[in-house]
Formats: sequence, structure tokens, C-alpha cells
Amino acid sequence: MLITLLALLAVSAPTLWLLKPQRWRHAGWLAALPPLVVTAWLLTQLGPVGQGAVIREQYVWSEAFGLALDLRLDGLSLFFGLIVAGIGAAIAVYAGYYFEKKTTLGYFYALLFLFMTSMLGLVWADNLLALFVFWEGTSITSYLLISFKLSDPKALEGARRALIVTGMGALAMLGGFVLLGQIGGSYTISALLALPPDTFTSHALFAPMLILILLGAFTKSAQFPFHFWLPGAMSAPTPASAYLHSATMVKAGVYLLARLHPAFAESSLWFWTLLVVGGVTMLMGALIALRQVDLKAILAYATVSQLGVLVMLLAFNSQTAALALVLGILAHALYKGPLFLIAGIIDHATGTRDIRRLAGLAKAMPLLAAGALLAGLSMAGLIPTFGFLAKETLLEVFFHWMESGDPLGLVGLIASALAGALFVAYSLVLIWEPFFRRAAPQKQAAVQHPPSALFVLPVLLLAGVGTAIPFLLGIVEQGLFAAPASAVLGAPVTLHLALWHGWTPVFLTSLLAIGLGLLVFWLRQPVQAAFAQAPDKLSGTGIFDDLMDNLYGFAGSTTRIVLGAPLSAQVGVTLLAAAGFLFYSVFSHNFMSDLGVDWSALPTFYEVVLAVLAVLAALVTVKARSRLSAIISLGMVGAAVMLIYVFFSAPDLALTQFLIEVLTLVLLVLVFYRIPPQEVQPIPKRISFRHLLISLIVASWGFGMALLAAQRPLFASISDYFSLNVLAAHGGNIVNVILVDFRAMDTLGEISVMVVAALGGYALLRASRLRPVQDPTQPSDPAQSKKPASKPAGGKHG
Amino acid sequence: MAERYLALLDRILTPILFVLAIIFLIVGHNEPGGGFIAGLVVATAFLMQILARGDDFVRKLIGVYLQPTMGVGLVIAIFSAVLSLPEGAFLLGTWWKISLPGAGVLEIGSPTLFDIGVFLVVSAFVTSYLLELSRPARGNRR
Amino acid sequence: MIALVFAILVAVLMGTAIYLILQRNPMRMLLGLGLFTHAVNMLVFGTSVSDRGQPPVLLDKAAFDGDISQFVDPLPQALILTAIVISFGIVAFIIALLHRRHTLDLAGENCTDRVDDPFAHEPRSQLDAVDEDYEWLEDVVLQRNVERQTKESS
Repeated sequence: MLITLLALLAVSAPTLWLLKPQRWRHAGWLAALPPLVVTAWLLTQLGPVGQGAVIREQYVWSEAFGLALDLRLDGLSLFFGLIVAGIGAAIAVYAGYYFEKKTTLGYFYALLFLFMTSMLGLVWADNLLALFVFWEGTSITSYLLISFKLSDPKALEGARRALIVTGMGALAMLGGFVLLGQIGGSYTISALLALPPDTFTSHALFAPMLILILLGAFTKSAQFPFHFWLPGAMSAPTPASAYLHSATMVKAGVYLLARLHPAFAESSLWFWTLLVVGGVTMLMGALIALRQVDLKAILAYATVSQLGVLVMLLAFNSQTAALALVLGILAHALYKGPLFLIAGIIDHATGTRDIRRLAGLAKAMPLLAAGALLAGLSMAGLIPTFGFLAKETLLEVFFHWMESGDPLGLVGLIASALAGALFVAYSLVLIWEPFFRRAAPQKQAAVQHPPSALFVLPVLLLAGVGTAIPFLLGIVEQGLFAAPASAVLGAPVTLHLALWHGWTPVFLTSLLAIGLGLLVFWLRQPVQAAFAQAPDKLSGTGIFDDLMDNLYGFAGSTTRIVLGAPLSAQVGVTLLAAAGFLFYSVFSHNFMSDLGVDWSALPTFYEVVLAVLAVLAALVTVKARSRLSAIISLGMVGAAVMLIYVFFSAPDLALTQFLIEVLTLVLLVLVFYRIPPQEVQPIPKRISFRHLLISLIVASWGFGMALLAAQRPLFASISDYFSLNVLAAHGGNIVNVILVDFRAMDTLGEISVMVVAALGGYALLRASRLRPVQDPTQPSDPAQSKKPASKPAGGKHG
Repeated sequence: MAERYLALLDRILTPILFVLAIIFLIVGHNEPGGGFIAGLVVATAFLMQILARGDDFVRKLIGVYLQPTMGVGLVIAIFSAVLSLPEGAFLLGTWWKISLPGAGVLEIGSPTLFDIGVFLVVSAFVTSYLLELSRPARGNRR
Repeated sequence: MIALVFAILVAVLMGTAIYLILQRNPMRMLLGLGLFTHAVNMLVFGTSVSDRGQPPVLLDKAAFDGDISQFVDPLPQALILTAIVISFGIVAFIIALLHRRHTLDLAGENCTDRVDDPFAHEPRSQLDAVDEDYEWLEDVVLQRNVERQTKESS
């Protein structure tokens, strides 16, 4: 079933593109169908999975390598799957109205659905390598979505930056996965998690493995110091920003950490890294958000901050922390998604996202204002919203820590309360300034294009679900919260969720944070002015760009050093290095006496004659004056080699060699016929001698290699297996059965190379046909006009 | 004048070479032969055509099909590999027996299909190079 | 002793091949590559020549009793078979490269400024400055842009 759902989404991608959805006004509803099907099925599984049921599916790809597509649906996967599919449906509807008959709608849907497939695969995969593949799938679709507006250089730059950062992180993560697989002896995630945790934490390679995996998770989830790509990703179309860069994709890192949490949570390295990185990200994101004026930028930095909160929560190994994590993820998806969509609608309606130009939109768009109020209050964490529930649980985590006597707990509590206060402040900014204040400080934008009710509907739906959940806790908490939390913790979780706990110290802290937030909101102008003074220089983006420039420079100079030498020198160095290794082993071991060559096998007279013939022909090839005689003597070598194949029972080889020899001969003659002999400067004696020396060294290397290869095998060859099982493969010609059955993968690779070589050769031989096209807009450059414009080479077709 | 005799020889030899290639392809699994050799034999047949009748003749005949043939060959090979996925693995040999009335049982399997893919790629590859290089260069021709 | 014969054969083929490859004349390098292919094939084939036997083909499948000692080792043969074909592919590709260079020569492009590198197209000082070979591609793109502009303006 899981694979069917993935296939459904994957097939929807090209289908929607081909259907040209821009032709219909309400196409979004059609596009929302596939994710709605997925959501509906997942909802039916909430009950059983809540009771602890797990759905598994396995599709073997290559048994020999242990490669299989393992899918597994447990509480955490179901939880993330619901977010991905449910919000995906809302985004699909929204995008239909957002693009409003623009022809790019189909392309957007194709990318959106490909992303959805990858993201669902990522959270359902039970194999580290499959997870990695889906992970990269999300990176690539994200790249394409950020660079959606191809004409915008800033978008392209942001897309490239995002791809490089997440791609490098993923590469590190792959290394970490391999280490993890080596340590645990399996790539199946559920099997790894079933091992006792100290299998990993006490292993010598634990620290490098953990750091590599964390790099992947941190880059994906935009943690400090890799946070800078996320604001740059905001040039994506708003529905994509809402979906990928807020609700789902950036949570992939959090998902991975949550998934591996049971195995690693006991390590102190895990605890401190996640706590510090998450905490720094949380505060930094919240602070930077205050100085932004673009609605989407504010939301982006708020997202960074929230991701920091989630990562920080993962440091803890307690029931409350796991619960706070789950609540935080869902609450964030259900308020940040709608807020992004609102920003998109505002942009659509007024033509700007600059908060300084917006005011009093509530009059023109009352529905939108209602949505903003619902989502914004949840972001602020005011009682009785979902956000309040999440924040209470978060503060409780630190409160418990503080109670256990650690003074750092107080620091954590203060930091989270501070972040909470900042959340309150810019939630209020987001609600108040665009919608309710009377006049904008700068030239006010007018509503030119009020959105239809259907356009606003997805926003209201998402915000409405977020509002409703706290009042339905009794129904949903087992499947929606307890099951994922216990998957994160690796142990069953009992729940005691309620909106009202009485006047607990946590609630008082929360009230304090709200009060502080109101204060910041009240004083926002001086605060923002102060922040505007802060230096802009040391941003992650600048450092990253410098780094990339240096990398390109380094690559260039390396290329000049390595490829600047003449070809003969390069070839010589390579070959001499190879020969050097052989000579080293000859002198460091007793080469000749240890050599297990069977000297008793005697060649027949004809075989010796053939070998001598080949040797003589090879020498003639070198000495030949004319090109034709060189070709003929090369053919002689080929003929002798072919006969050697005949004498040593290799009929297939002899046949092939014969045919190839004929064809090579003709090709060489054809090309020599077309290309006249060249006058090449004679090589100086000194260099000629050097070449001779290199040739002699390589010849002795070949001699040694041949003797080494001819000795009795040190270990059993696999050819016996091939010979014995040839009948099982329904064949009699063992050589051919190896080629097309046992080792068919190699042959497949070979014919792929041949196709590439054919296309490359075709392009080279025909390239002249493609020249020249004069550029009529530019007067011809005098420097260039010296060269003839046309390249006469293509013959009749040229 | 020599080309006329070559053309005569070519009339006799070309069908023989094609039949030979098909035989190599069919028996390749049990006796010497196979897709590589069959592909080279076909390329040799076209080489003879090029030498006897000129490259334009052959180009008009098959020129446009060469690149697609390579693609088709690769697709067939990959298809034969995917064919065995339901059996459990990529590229696993899968065999069917077809009883031909009067001619015994013909065993056909995914490796046969794979071999056909190899045959198509190799023959088209070699022939395309031969055709491209035998295109007369300007000024170098009578 | 067969091993010795093959070792000498491999040594001579390799030595001559490398000597040709180190030359400045691209044609001779091509011939050297052909010789090198033979050398490596002989090197691989040499592993299976000490034990003589039947060709690895079951002529009578029904009579096969699992006695594989009668055959020579099939694995080197399979390796060499692919090697022969793929090295032909390489030779063909290099021929295409040479041909391309020749057409550029005919067109007056100076390909042999660097006497020591037969494949260098530009003199060393300009190696990273110009990429002439792809100029046609830029031309195509330019032309397309121009067409688009004229279409938009009309």
C-alpha cells in the first residue's frame, strides 16, 4: 500500500504537467486529490498505529548487495506522513489560485509532487541508503523550486547555495550512514534501533559517525552556522516556501535526528551538540527576524528559530521532551504554513511583501485577517491555542531539568522564555501591522486584486485544524502524539495533555514571556532601529561565497598544475608510478623464489612461432617509416594474437578479435586517407632517450605483472562457480553466459559507455555542421574577423 | 572497375553475413557467438556495402536509424534487466519455455533479450563510426 | 615456460606501445594504443594458459557431469571479450577527436602551437582564456535569443 501511494504521487507529477492545469480556474482541487487520498489512508491508520501496530513493506532490488526498498510505517512516520500529505493537499489547492492560469503551473505541480514523493519516501524509508536517496530527491526538487523563476539571478544564486550546502551535508551524512551500517552490521533502520544503544556509543568510531550524520541533519534543517541558505531560498514561489522551507523539507533533519534518537540519546556528545547548536539557532533566528521587513524573510528567520527549538529538544532523553518535540513540529507546521500562504496572498493582492508599506488590510480581506489571527496567535503561544500547548511542554522540559538541580536548566529556561517572548513580539507584528494599523510608515500599497474566498480557504483550513486540535485532545492524542513520541523515545509514552494545568510555575513563566513579548512589541521601533545598526558584514552568506570563490580558484590552479604538463610527461609519470610499486614489492619480497609459476607447462612450436611473430610485428610498428606499413604491422600483431586465442581454446575471442581487427584496419585507413601526414618537429635526442627508458621500465613492469598473473592463484577463483552453474543459466557457452547473465551488469555498463562514445563521436564528427551562426546584433569584432567565419569540413552535408 | 567486382561479391556475401549474424545471435548462449560477435558481423556487412556502393547509399538506407537503434538496444537490455525484478532481483536470468510444434522446445530468457540489446548497440555503434568517417572530405574527392 | 613466453610477449608489446604513445605524432599514439590493448589482453589471457583444456563450451549439455577440469578458465576470456570491444570504442573515439582537430586545422585554427602536446588546441598561455571549441554553442544560443527578441518586439 505504501509503495502504491508513493507511485500514485510520482505518477501524478508528469500527469498534472501534461494536463496543462492552467486551462482551468479550479485546477487546484484536482491536483489536491492524490495527496488527499494519501491523507485519508493515513488517517485510517491512526487507530491501529496508535495501538502500536507497524506496517512494513519490502521490495528487494539486489539481494547480493543487500539493497532493498524497505518501507515502514510507525508512529513517527505516520505523523510526518500526515503533515506532508495533508499540508501538501492544501498547498496544491492554493497553488492553483496563486499561479492563476500562468503556464508555469503545470511545471510547478510536477516539481511539487516529485518533492512530495521524495519526502514521503524519506519519512517512510526503513533503510539508510533508501533514506539517503529520497533525501537527495528532496534537495534536488527544492533546488528546482527555488530557481523556479529562471530570469531572476538572485533566485538562481540562492538555489545554488541551498543545493551546495544541503548537498555537502548529505554527502557527509552518507559517510556517517556507512559508518553506522558498519558499526551496526545492517542498513535497516529498525534493525539498528533494536540493538542496545551502547553498541554505538561505546564504539571507537562513534564520534566521527555522529558528527557526519549531524552535519547532514544540521544543513538540511538550517541550523547555525548553516542557517543562511534558508532565507536565500525564499525566492521560491510562496506555496513552495510554505511547504518545503517551512512545513516539511527543513524538518527532514529533525526527522532523522528523531529517528536515530533512541540509539544515540545517551551519549553526552549528542546532548551537548544538539543543545548548543539548537539553542544558538533558536536565539539567533529569533533576533534576526526582528530586523527584517519582508514578510517572507521574517517568517524564514522565525522558521530557523523554531527549527533550533526542535533540535534543542532532541538533546533530551525524556518523555516530556519527546512530547514537546512532536507538539512543536505539528504546531509549527499548522501555523507557519498558513502564515506563509497569507504572505503569498498579500503579495498577490497588493504587489508587495514589504511590511513598511502594508496597513489596514483587514477591511479589504476580512477572511484573510481571521486566518492570520488564528495562525498568529498560535505562533505567539497564547492560551488556548495549539502553540500554547507546545510552548508549555517546551518550558516544562527545562523546568524539569532545573528541578533536577542543574543550574544550566535555568539558563535553558531563560533562553527559551526569551525566544518565546520574541515569538510573541513578531507574531503581533505580523498580525497588527499589515492588517489592523491605520497607516503605513512608507508609501502604502493598495489592494488591487482581492483574493477569492476559495483562495483563502486552504489558509483557513490549516489554521482551523491547528485551532481545533487542543480541543480534541482526547480523540487524537493517542495516535497523533503518543505514538510518534514513543518512537522518538524508543519506549512507550503515557500522556497527560491538557490545556489548563492550573497556576504552575511553568504557566507563570509563560505569562512572563508573553508580557516581555508585549513589551518588545510596544518598543519595536527603537528595537528595530537598534538592530538595523548591527553590522551586516559577517553573515553566513558572505563567508560561504568567499569560500566558494576560493574553491573555484583552487580548482583552477590545480588544473593548471596537473594538466599543464605535456601529455607525454603525464603518461610517463603515471606509468612510472605504477612500475615503481611493482619494483618496490620485488625488492622487498623474495620475488623470483616465491613466484608460484608452473614452469613445467611447455609451449608448442607453433605457439612460440606466433609469439615471435607478434614481437617482430610490434617492433616493425615502431620502426615503420610510412603510416600504411605501420598499420599493416599492427594488423599483423592482431592476427598473431587472434591465432594465439585459437591455440589456447578461446573461439569466441578469436572470432571477436578477427572482426575487430578488420574493422580497426578499415577505420585507421579511412582516417589516414582523410588526414594528410603531419610535419611534426623531431624529438630531441635527449628526450627520445628518456622515452626509450620509460618504455623499457614499463616493459619490465609488464614482464613482472605477467609472471605474477601466471602464478597459481592465491585464492579460489570465481570462475569455477560460473562453470558449475552454467546449466542453471540455461547456456552452454560459459564465456557468453558470464557476459549476459552472471556478470550482465558489467556488460550493461559497457554498452552504456559505447552509446555515450557513439554520441560523443557523432557530435565531434558533425560539429562542423553546427557552425557558424552570425550574431546579427553585434558588429563583427575586428579581432575575430581575421578567422574565417565558416568551417568548411562537413562535405556535402556540411 | 574494382568496385564492380566488389559489388558483385557484396551481393553474394551480404545476405550470408546477415544470416551468419542471426545464427551467432541465436546460438550464442550455447556455442561460440553471441551479441558482440553478431553485432560486429553486421557491421562488417555494412562496411562491405560502404566500400562497394559508397557511403551515400548506405547512409540513405540506414543513416537515420543508427542512433535510435543504439537507444533501443540499451532500452532492451535495461528492460530485460527489469523484467526479473518481480522474480526478486535486478538482472536475474528469467527463462520461459516455448514449445514449437515439430521443432522441439525453444528456450527464451531475459539473457537472450539482453544479448539482442548488446547486438543492436554494438552493430549500430560500429556502423555509425564507419559511416561518419567514410563521408568524403571536401576537396579530397574526385 | 609458457608463462615466460607470455611474459616476454607482454613486455615487448607494452614497451613498444608506450614508446609509440610517448611520441608527438597523434597517429603513432593511436597505433600505440592499439598495441597496448593487445598487451593488456595478453596479460590477462596469460593467467589461463598454463592449464590447457577444451574451450569452455558445453557441446552436450545432457552429458555434462560437473567435471569442469576439462575446460580452460572462462573468466579471463569473458573479461577480454569486453575489453576488445570497448578498446575498439576508444580507438574509434580518438579517431573522431583527431578528425575534429583536422577539420579545425583546415579551417585555419592553429592547433599545433604546442609542439609537445598533440591534443592541445590553444597555446599554453591561452589555455584557460578561450574555449574556441564551444563557440558554436554560444552562437546557437545567441541566435536563439535574437530570434526570441525579434518575436517579442513584433
